[in-house]
Amino acid sequence: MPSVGRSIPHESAVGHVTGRALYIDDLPRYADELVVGFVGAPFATGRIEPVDLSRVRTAPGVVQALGAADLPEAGARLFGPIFHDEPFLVEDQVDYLGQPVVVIAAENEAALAHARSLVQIAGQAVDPVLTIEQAVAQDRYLGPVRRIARGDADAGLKSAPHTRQGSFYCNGQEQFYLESQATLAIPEPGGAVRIVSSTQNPTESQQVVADVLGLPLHQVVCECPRMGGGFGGKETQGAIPAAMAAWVALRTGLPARVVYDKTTDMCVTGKRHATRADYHAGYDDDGRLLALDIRFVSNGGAYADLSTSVMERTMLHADNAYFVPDIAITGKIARTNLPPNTAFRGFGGPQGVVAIETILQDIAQAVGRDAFDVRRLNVYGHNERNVTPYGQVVRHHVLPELFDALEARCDYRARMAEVQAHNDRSQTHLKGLAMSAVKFGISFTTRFLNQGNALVNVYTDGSVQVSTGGTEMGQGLNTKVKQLVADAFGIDIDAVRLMTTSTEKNHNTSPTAASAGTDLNGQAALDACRQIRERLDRFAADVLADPEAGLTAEPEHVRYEAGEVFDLRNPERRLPFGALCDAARRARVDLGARGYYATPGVDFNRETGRGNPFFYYTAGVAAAEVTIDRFTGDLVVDRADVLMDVGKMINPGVDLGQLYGGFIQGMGWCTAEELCYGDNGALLSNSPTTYKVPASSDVPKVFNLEAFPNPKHKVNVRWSKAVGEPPLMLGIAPFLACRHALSFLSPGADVPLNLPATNEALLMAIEALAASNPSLAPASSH
Amino acid sequence: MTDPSVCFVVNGRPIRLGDADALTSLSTLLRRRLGLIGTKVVCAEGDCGACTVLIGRPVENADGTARLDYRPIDACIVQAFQCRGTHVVTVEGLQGPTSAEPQAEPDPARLTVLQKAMVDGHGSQCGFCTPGIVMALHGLHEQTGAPQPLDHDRVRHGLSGNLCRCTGYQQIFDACAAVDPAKIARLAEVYDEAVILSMLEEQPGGAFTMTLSVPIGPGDRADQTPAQVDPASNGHPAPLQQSAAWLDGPALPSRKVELFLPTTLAEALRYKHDHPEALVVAGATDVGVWQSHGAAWPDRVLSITGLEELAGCHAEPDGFRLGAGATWRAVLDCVADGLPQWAGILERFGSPQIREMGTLGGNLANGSPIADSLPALFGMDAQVELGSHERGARRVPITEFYTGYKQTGMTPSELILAVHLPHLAENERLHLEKSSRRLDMDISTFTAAVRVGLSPDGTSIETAAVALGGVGPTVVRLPEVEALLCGRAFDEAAFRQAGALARSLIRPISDVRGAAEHRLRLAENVFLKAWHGWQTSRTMENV
Repeated sequence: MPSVGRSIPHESAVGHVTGRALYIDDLPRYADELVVGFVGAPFATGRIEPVDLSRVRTAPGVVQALGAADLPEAGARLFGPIFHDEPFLVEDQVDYLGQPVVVIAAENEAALAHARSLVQIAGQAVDPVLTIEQAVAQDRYLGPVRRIARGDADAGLKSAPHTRQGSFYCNGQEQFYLESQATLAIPEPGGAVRIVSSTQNPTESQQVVADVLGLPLHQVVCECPRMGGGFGGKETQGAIPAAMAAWVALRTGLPARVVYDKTTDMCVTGKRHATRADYHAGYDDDGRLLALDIRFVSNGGAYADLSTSVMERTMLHADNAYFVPDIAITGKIARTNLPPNTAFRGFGGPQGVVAIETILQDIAQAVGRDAFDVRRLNVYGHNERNVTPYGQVVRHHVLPELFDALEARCDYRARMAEVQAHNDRSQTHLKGLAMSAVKFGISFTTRFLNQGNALVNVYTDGSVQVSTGGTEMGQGLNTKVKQLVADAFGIDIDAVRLMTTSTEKNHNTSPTAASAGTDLNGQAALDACRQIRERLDRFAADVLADPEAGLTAEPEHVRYEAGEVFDLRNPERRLPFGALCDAARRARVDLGARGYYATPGVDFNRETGRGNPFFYYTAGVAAAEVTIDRFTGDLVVDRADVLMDVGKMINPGVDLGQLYGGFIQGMGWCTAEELCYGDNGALLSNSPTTYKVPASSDVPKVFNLEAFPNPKHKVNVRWSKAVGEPPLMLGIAPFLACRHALSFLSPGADVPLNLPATNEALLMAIEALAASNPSLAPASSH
Repeated sequence: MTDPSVCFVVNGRPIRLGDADALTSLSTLLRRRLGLIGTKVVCAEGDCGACTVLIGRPVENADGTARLDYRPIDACIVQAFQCRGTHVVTVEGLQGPTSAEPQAEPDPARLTVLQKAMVDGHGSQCGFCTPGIVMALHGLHEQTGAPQPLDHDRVRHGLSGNLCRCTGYQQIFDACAAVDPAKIARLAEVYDEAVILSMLEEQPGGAFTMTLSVPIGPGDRADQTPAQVDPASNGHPAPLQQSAAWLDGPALPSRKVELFLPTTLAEALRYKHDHPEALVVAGATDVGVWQSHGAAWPDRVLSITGLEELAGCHAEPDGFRLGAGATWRAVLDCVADGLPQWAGILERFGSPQIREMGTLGGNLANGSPIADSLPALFGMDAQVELGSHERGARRVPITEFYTGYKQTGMTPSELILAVHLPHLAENERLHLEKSSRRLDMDISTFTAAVRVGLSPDGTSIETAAVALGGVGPTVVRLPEVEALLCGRAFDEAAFRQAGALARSLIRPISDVRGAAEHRLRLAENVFLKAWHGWQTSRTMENV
């Protein structure tokens, strides 16, 4: 039976449930291993004086205490995935609070803690720039201003029957992967170093370590056995701790491990970009969008990191699932004194999607129509109204069909009537019901990243090892690749083993990101399988041939099924796959191959804002119903219905897990997770005690989620679709339902609610709206 | 007495702690000393459940025989010495005793029914929270008499102390719902209880003092007090401290810490009399957090963890007598029928794991103005029973117990013995409120108790008690609001006015849990919410 299409358990599931799956801090300790930590800058910006480390160096148990002055001469002073603008250690200029200044290696945790307490960093603090508004006022930006436009937005706005202007703000979000940043570095002979890191991007970690330490790339190997979650937060941000450990290992010749504790991790690593959208939208009496001028500014933090690419994706998703004839989109990145913001599932897409979904929700209210109908009116068509602002045609999609199916399956009309009746009746609770959509472009918008390579080793017993450049962070990449490879040889899934990701087997790889892990690495693995199969086919054809019976050797007739190989024309005669492999080796047939894949046809010109950046789109819709306590703002998400076109699922259990998890993570961003900073730039919500990701009791009590077939989708590996990021954006539906609920308080009034809709934000909005409409029995009398 | 060490059993193997290990967290002990790395640590402050293990405490059956009662706890903040006399089961021990030999790879065929369900049902993704989730699920199964289905509602509630960032929980719910609970083995079937109990009995009993060396670290101050605490940070020291696991510290200068582990209340009181400066540790759900953040132990520590004389909870004719050492789960069990309003709040107290360690007395002594338990006690005119070696017991009204932010009027030699909580009268209505950013496993932004006594015909208010938390340095009663309500008609207007007056009387601060204005609005609104809630419960209308 083929593996693809079956809900095979995650390849590490047994290790997960028994606690035997190893993460960086679980790896066995070397007897002489060093514990590495750092001391960060005591203020968010300003200059520090040279740090005297003499007392620290002589403290008990301290092996190394290092500052920027100790960095190798040959090393690069600055690193970064796009722009090289970030120092590994502060030399004198501090750009965010806690930025690493001193690296300490000690014999044990107690000595490290003691040594850290001895470090004194003095300097001249300057008032930090923390918010988008502060940065804009000071004209502090990262990277160029980008623009994507079609038609004439100004003219469209002038001629539109109605317009509305506004600003919308969405907060950042902490990735909150459970395993914090961690790396174990092991020195190797000849001045080389092997790092074992919790990273989505082994090639980048290898690169940064090599750059900072002044090594050629071949002297650094980066491995990643698995991650305890990544969500984008380990695409670039693992580089600093990796460099710390590697530096210590090379200087001392001893293994060195750094494991951030949760609060340190939250305080010094980048997050989802808070983003402000200022918009001017034109529409007709029915709520049809005619023109949109939308200007995004994100909070990039102190350095560029991935911010320009993240903003690009925000802009490329400003249309989301909707056709806008005349549109102008601009994007800028504010430079502030926060840790450099970075990738987080959705990679800027959510900020674009939530803006236009909110605009449509408001337009519906303004024209007095149901918001579902307004969305349906604006959705991309099949043969017309199907070109994006950047010129890519939205092909082979099922967006209108998704809308109609959701409407029926979630009983939208009847429930909307119930919500209205409830709100007419209740003095204590408000209900809201809203839907949202997502159309997420799949591919890295940076063209060269759309490639992957894989190594497949077939052994003489028919078992197979597969290595790819993709990393496993829980998303099930390795399980899906196993399935693809098992089917390529017609063998049982247990005969395939996925090996630790390592840059010595798969080099020049792209980060496991952009939802494209399976697309790129699965396809590359299949390319390797194809090469081996071609050789095996020829060999098997000879073995299976029976010239006397008129059965000539014809490789195209060789089949692999259920662990056996046979000629289609004589299916009775079957060879075990292992026996064939053993015989093939003896006949000097190469049973290994390196596969390669580059996504065809994707390109985007960011100077002109035109092109075909995406190979295809993953799309979906969701409806959510919420109940809000009018006295406290407490929010309950009563029900969610999700439908997504994710192509032909390679593993429904794994893929649906991505949909459930993505939705809840998006819901957390929109309703609960609030990053709070002090005036000095300190993150106050710096642990799960103060930063509240969704708990089990926050899951909608009724949670219906299904995949929706799309028979038109016939590209990508086994006609599957990328599934990691898109569902996160459907978690916006509960937020829109909150806005819908609040709209009952003062019909026609603007709903003053940004992200996240915490109980505090909801109560503030309730009272503001109730105050503007005293006839509606407000909860309070002041 | 002769053998000063803490002994307990881990996965069926007896453990004897030496020196500084007694003052490490259980998770550090498990991971670093015993090599049981299946217990994961994420937050190290009891707020994610990744480190969940089961603690089996000996309890008496109705027939006088002993058994082990297994409960989920957060190993990251439980201190190793608190496990004295218990059987700790980690994820490695679910299938039975772990051998001293290096562990073989897990055998899928030996998974527990719940583990198998999690595997087949895609209940794990990255897997880092999964051991904790598995332990919490087994803990849930241990806690019922006859095996109960692990249906969605039970698991939603039962896993509220375990954060998962990947799955969105739904596939875990579905996986559990598919399991036949009768097929899940209890730990009593996996371990020979008689053997474990005899191991526990063989351990040195009685009170003893341990003198431990702990390395001097950053948490030590000249005055040897715990780390400085910013009121707004709820006990968490400033960020950027990499937490210290106090391991292998011989190279460092060290100092002595005396740990006293009494087995009777008299011994505890005597020690507190002799050493009034000693830090009293009951559940350690706050002390354990300080320790994770690198705080130093003071020179003397008095552990009253598990002291039987303090643990009892029962309903008496004039109210509940709740032992100071009772865990919140025990308190919850005791008041569930008699005071369901409070039980509703206590179900949201911390997490299931925290409720199994944290104690009533600890919450009172810690004295946070956002302590979940306090408004009910204030609003119900509870009394705190204090005891000391030299003066015996005395009772103090809870309303007079606190003198300032985390300050009480207790004398240095006193311990909290119990709380006396009057019953709610027939004619009384009680509304309790806990507002927090998240429903479960969250610390309150604002808390309140509103209690009114109604006239026989139910039309007017005869008595009123109002207590608010999170609006100042202590929980406060608002006599002005109580006076306003007394004698008023029992109608919406009375509560609307009460809210407006309450708002004018308080000066809350803004912090990471909420703005001052938010707290003012909550204080104002809680009265109307109470009134509407009582109307709803009276008419049984659905809102």
